[in-house]
Amino acid sequence: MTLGLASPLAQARDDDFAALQRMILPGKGDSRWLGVAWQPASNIWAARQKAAREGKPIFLWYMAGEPLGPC
Amino acid sequence: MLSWLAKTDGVAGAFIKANRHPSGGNCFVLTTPGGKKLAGGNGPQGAEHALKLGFEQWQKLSEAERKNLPPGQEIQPPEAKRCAPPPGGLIVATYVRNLKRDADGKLARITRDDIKDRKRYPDWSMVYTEPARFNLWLTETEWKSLLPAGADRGKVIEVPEPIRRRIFCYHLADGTYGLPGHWQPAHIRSGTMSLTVEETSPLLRLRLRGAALLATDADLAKAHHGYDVKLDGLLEYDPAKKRFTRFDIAAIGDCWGGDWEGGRFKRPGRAPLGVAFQLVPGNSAVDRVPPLVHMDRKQVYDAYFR
Repeated sequence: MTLGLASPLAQARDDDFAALQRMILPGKGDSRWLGVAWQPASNIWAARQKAAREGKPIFLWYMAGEPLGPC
Repeated sequence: MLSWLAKTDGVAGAFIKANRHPSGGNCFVLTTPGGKKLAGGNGPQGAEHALKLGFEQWQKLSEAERKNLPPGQEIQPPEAKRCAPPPGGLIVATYVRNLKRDADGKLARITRDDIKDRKRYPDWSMVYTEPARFNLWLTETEWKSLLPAGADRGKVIEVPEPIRRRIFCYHLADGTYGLPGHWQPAHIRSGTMSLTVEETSPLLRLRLRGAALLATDADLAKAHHGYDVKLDGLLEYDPAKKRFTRFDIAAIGDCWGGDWEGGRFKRPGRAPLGVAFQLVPGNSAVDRVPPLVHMDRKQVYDAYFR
């Protein structure tokens, strides 16, 4: 996908604008993590209840590793 | 993980404590609703390891073990309120993507083959060619301030300063390499953003135009990070539904500086970076992720909505 706007937007027409937005947005195969049914980390109990109801395991993703640390 | 988040697990952090995993960047754990840790992993293959091994363990459990959930109690610490979208507000997803100019000078996506050039793409992995996802939040009062009074076709209004500043400082930052830094208000070397009324019926259609020069130093030669960007957008408001039904903005410009932890992954010179904004319904966990990492902190929350 290419777009012929070396210095875009100043004279962008609607179709240029739409093409540029499509170029930036996730394409086929991009950002596959967005397809996961994530649950809010700010209510883990709700996620546990939902998982129990549906008979599913929970996949936890921690940033920076230490669950009870500052971050 | 923040300690207040752990306390929302229904048992004052005991579930999370039982599912710790050794540190090492991003960590992944597969567990049962009841809290029996099945497997964990960290680093680039951590998720794959935790899922593969974890599901092997999961298959060995009885249905009763899978659905077991000891009693618990929902707790919502005060920090949780600051991590929830403002009531009646607008959630606009933002996608930040590194781009390139091809041999003809046309903008294009960066490919797997491109990043084999390690001088142009130092230490890059494929994930840096994908868009990074964030969210812009506007309160109900703020999005209503975008509606011009007495909207006649051709009328131009300036986007109110708090919204303009928020977009410039927090949403035109390069977050493609991980945690994004943010521009300070003083880093806005120039910036304009206006709305022109294009149609008034049946929908109010507004064309957004803007430009900004964002740089860590007024002397651009000394600025370790910068973004020279133009914005174009189309916003549509449905008077019958009393809400925005379209909030599409595309920003494109030349960026420099690499990541915000020492300038890693920095491309030579200036390189194109695009940001696309798109209205989202706000009913998924991803849509409801706070705009900033530490939105739970009052000073961060207040600075965002200043």
